[in-house]
Amino acid sequence: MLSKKENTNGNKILVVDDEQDIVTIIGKVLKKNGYEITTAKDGLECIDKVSREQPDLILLDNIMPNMDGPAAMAKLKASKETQDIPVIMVTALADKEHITGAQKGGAIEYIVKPFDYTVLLEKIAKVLKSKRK
Amino acid sequence: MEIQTSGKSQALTDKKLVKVLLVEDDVIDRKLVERILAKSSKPVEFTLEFAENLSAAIEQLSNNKRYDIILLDLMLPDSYGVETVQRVREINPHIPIVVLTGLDDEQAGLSAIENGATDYLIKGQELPNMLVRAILYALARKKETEDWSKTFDAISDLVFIQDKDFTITKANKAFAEAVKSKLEDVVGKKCYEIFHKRDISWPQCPFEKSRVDKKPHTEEINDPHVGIYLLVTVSPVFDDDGEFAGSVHIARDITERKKLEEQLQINKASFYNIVEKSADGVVVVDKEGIVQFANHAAENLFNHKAEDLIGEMFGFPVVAGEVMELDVIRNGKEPGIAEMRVVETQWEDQGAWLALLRDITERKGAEEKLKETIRMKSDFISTVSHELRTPLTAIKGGIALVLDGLAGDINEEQKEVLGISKKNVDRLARLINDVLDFQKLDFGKMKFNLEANDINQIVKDVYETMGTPAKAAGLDILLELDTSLPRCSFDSDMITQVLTNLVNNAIKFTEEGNIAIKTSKTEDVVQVSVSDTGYGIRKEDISKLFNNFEQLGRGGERKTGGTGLGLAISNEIVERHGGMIWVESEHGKGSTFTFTLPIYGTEGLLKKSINDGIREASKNDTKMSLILISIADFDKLQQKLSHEKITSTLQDIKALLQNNLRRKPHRAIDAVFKLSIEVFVVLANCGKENTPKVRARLEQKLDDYLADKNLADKIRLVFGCATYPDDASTNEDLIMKARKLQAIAPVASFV
Repeated sequence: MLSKKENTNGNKILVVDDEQDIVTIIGKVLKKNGYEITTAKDGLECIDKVSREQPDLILLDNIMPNMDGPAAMAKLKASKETQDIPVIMVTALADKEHITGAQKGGAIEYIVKPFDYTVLLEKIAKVLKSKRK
Repeated sequence: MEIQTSGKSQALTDKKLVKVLLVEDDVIDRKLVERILAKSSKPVEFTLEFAENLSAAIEQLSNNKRYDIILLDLMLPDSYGVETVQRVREINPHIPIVVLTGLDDEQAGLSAIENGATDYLIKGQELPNMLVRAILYALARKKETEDWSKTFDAISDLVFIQDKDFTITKANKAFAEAVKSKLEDVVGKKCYEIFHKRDISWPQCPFEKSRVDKKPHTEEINDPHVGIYLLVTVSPVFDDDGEFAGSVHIARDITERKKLEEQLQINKASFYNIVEKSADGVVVVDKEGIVQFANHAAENLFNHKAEDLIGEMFGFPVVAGEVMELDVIRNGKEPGIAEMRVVETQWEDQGAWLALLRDITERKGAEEKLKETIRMKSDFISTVSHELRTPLTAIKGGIALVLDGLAGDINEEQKEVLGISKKNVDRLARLINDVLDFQKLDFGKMKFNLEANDINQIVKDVYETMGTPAKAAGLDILLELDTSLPRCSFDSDMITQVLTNLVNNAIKFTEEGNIAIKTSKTEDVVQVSVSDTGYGIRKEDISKLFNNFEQLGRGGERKTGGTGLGLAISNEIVERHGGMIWVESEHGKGSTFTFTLPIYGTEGLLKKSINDGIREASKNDTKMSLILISIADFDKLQQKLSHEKITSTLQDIKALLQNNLRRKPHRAIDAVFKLSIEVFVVLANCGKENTPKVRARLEQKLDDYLADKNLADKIRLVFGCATYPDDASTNEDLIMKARKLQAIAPVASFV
């Protein structure tokens, strides 16, 4: 577990999930750990928020109405401004093919629901660290 | 007297004795005959007896005295002329009669012959010269007639000779017996009177035809009056002028044969009846693939009359011993599916195939429905499990957030309660994972990626990840690895899951002591065992251990955290690999879980995969091409490139091959796997004509890749292809063919 004191540089994370409860919990965890949070309830809102908010990292749910995770990721990777923003795919689908599918789509990491938030924090820290490099 | 004596002495040696009855009233004539016979120098000796008149002669003949010949005077005191001959014949129909007649009565002699005498002699000067000759001639003729009659009577067929008006002139014994008459009663009768017991000729009698066209004819005759089947052959007889005079009529009793034929006919008819009424389609196909027979059920399956099917190509591959499914048209129903089994048979003395077709459309439909139901159930489980994950994430996250004090300080009691909540949420999460895993295994959704792997490496990996939780539980993990283990083929993720599960269980159920992981091998399996010093398992519980949702109270105490599915999943995974899993345990002392994996040599793995492919191709009536791709001089390559470089390159090559085949999931064909470290096997879904294209495409892609990675001058790939069933139909032959082509592949580009 990371402590609040650890330097997160106030990195901004976009949490995309259609489940408001998940967004709230993850949001709280991330805020408590020093991250700045912005949220979106589906893929469409995610695309919209990304251009306005310029997040450092996106936590992207897989199954959502209007536009799902893979479709949103395809859009992100297709645009020059957004293609370098790292995406961690959050999925309830633990099958190998979904995981490899997420990786092929461009996700830098994935995490399977339900997860320990410490694992999520570790993954986020790792991704942001390598991004800084 | 002297002559008689000499005659007698000769008779003792080899002279034939002829008994003569002379019927003569004139004493002078008797003496004359006596003298002539006594003087005879022919190789016969005569004994002579006399009868003075016909009555005496008849008496002597009736007294069962045997005579070889009768010399008969026609002018006897009690009989005169031809009548005399007739009277003698009545007594003895067969004995030769030589008539002695007066000088002036030659006409009487001729008439005597007509009435049954054998010859006649005129008394007088010729008699001494002619008598012995006439006797010998008559005897010879009688013998000839007898011989012929014997032969004639010996014929078992019914033989008679008839004149052109159907009158029987001669018949053999078999005929007489068949009509239950004496021979002499038969002669002179019309054949249809005596045989068919009717007034006009038998309509089917071939003699009617012979009478018209003067040619031989044969017919089978079944006259209910006669009660037997006859095969009748009639051959026309012509007189000296070439005029039609009658026929020889030979009839053979073929009743037995006919009965057999009838029985055969009945058998055949009942066989046809059975085959026709069979609910299964029966089709006989000759070795050229042409339909020779089709029953009623087959007519319905193919919606064609048998006469339209017979003589046409069957159009489906027939292989003895094979069972395959055919799409059939079905008369009066929607198209369906028939299951065909083929066996070898004989048809009209030729080798042929017997194809038995069973309409399985309804059964298939039911199976599909069942599969659909199972699929729906499986989808439901899958959906529910996924749906559970999201709320669980919120619960888990929320609890952890509070428990870790991120939402403010909490006291010890709150911490304890939330700790319990957290533990059970984690358990619920594992349960969901296990249910999903098990359901995937149960419905065959889990893909197995079989490759040659090192089991010791898996053990080391699991040791790495499980070391920490073991330590946390105060347990050591000991390794005992057999470093000489061969690589064997398994899905590394799956086997990692099995081993992790076993180690996890060992940690959970062991209070103190240690856990040992051991690898070893036997002739055909590698063996991995996980031993603990825990509670052990009661004997009565061992059999339940690998069942679904069986969690045992080990040592009477149930530790939380298990779902009861872990061992069932492990069992399933190991069995799918062709291995076994079992446990040995002593209650209170610990348990040892062991599983095995078969060592397929690389050959075994190749054959297994090709067999799967062949089975699939023949089932779907498609073709399959085996493409072997080897890295040439792999040993030298290992000196030129780093291990990491080689490993990543091999991985890339495999991925490249996979991405360049249109692979459908769960198929044996369109598969790519590594046979050994440097040999790739591609089972392509293409026929012989397309194999060069597929091969060229793969080769191009690989060349591009190697060029891109600056490896073109270091790695050379050698290809070998063979197609099922065009090139070979067994895995051995396919491999041999592909290897042969690899062996002769050009080596110019890389030395």
